[in-house]
Amino acid sequence: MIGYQGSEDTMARGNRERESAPGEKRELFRNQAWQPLPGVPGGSLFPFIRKVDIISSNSYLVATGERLVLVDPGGLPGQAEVLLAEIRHLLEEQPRPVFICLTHVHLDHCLQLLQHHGFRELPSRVVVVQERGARALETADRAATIADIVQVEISPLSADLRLIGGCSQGEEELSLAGTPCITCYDPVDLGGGLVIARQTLPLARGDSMEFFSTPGHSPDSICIRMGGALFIGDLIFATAPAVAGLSGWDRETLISSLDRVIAFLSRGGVTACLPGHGLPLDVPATLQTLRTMRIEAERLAGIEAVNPAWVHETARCAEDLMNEVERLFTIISGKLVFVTHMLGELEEAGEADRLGSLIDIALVDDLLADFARFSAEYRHGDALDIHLALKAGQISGKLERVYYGELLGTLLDLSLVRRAGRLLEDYTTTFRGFRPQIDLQGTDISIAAAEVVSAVSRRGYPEWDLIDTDDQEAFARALAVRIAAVNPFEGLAIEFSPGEHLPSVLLDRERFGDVLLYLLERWAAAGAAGVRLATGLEGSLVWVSLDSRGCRGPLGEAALRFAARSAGLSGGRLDAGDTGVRLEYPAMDTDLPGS
Amino acid sequence: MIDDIPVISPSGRVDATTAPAMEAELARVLDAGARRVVVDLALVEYMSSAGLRVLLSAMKRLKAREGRMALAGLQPPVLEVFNLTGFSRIFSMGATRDEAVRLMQE
Repeated sequence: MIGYQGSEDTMARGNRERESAPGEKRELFRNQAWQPLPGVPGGSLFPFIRKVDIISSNSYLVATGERLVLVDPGGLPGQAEVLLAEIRHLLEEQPRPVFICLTHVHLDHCLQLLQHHGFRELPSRVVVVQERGARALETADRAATIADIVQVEISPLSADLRLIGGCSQGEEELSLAGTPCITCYDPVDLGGGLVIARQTLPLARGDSMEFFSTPGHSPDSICIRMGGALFIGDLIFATAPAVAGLSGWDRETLISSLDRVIAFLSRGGVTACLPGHGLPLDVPATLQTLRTMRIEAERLAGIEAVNPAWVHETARCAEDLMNEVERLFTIISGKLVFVTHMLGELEEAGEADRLGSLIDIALVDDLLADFARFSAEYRHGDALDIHLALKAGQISGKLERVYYGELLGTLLDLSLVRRAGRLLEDYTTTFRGFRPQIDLQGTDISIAAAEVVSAVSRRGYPEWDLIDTDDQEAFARALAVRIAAVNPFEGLAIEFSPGEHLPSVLLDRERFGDVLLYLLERWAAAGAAGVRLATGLEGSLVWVSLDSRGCRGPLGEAALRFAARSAGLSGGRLDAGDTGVRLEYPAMDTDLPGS
Repeated sequence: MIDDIPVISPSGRVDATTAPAMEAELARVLDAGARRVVVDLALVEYMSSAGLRVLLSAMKRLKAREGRMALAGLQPPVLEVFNLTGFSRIFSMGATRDEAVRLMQE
């Protein structure tokens, strides 16, 4: 499978049985080991639980005297080998039908069923899929299986039993793997007007497999109950970023399924929920998760469709944004290291310690290094767009959790701190499937530009703080601010030629300021001696031009792409030349001068 | 080593993953008693705060024995970080390795 090969070896690891430390929560099931299946006398369970990613799901193998049941064969060949070895061993002991049941047809759950010869060669194999999923497999539907996003070629596969989704009632005689059996359509009345569709098949003497229709994550999603265990597929991930919005995802249907599963679990009878990714959960933990998800699902109205175009654009956004996140966070961390060092030299250890705790510098470093390594693999072709988008989501989420912008703003330049925070927020919003928040207001662009010019000329600390204070703590803080104040525009001469009587434009003032500051910083770092900044009007477009002189070279492609993206978010667009750029904003006032 | 002045030459990214290697090399040189050290950063494309802390720590150790350190060949992205964090105020820097060595010989 084309994909992120780096995770292949994780399928060989698992949570082996070990002694629990006192007070430590014990695992519900041992990984890759046979153990009793709760609620099914004589039934056994072999879970294959792996780390959470989009490469491969967990798999669960159930054995009874009458049949073997494999829930979700997964996406990795090594995983399939382990499962097939267990199946072959059991079949040698006692031949019986092997039911391969798919919770849904996303490829991380079933790719090996399509590709591994071992599954094709199984005698008495019965493939059980919900009917929408069965249709998707028969037509090799790239969107329904997410083959388009994970960029895998697939061949058609026919299901042996297509589970229906409706609330029919009755029985039907089937012949599966040459063996007659009865399937029952027997919806469950959950009370409060809620009914959940259910279809059953025999599992063992006196016990059944129950298949519940739970669409939402995908139209073919099901939960499977065997005894006290409920196999829930990707239900608990259905509101996650880059999962919500996948082809076939439906918010209303998901909410409806969540309500039904919550009601079903609340009745009792199920003792453990086994998800498609991550560790098994007890029922209270599952209910808590599902209830939280229901609230999340309510907020997901209007999210973007997660399709290959979205994935590609989000991965581009991730690269550009994380470049700038790395630059800003390195400067922030570096400033803190410098200031704490200097305060230490000045024997202000107390203030040094306080500042050292404003952000976990070591963690920030680790996270940035982690993303850099991943990014290198991506550029080398060892990871896909979707992997990069997910990785950036993971890293930016972790950075957001340790980033206390308000506290940092008491020491460092507020613009720097605010920009870093906004970048993280923008990415997590984009990754979530929403558009970043933009606050467009009618603005005089010359005034907005003048504010930026004024800000870059301003000293970063009030002159009187050190002089006027008697308080030792306040003195140390003022000293720290003074030490931290570095003017990145020192030596950069800015000539500002504002246009007059320009019509107002709709722009996000803060984001506009951020773009200008970003460009000025890049030019200052590139050795520019000066920048000419001007505003004017051409046709119905109000423009801001910035031209540098004395630069070592033009701004790089990545820098320009980031600036263009930021300009777009501010309400305008950016055009780049060799020594400068022009930002354009549509004039609000159609009654233009001279017209 | 140039004119008895040890020269450390890290390359690529110096971040949380790779800074320990630079730290180990500096420690080896300082443990051997060096009082003047040049760190040639011409091949370093990025340095995180982990790298800055390693350099700072080495500089402090040298200062304790009345020694000195100079950095050489900072590339624009690294120079930008040094300038914007304030580190360029406390490190001697030469545009080239030879220039940094000359700074140490003064």
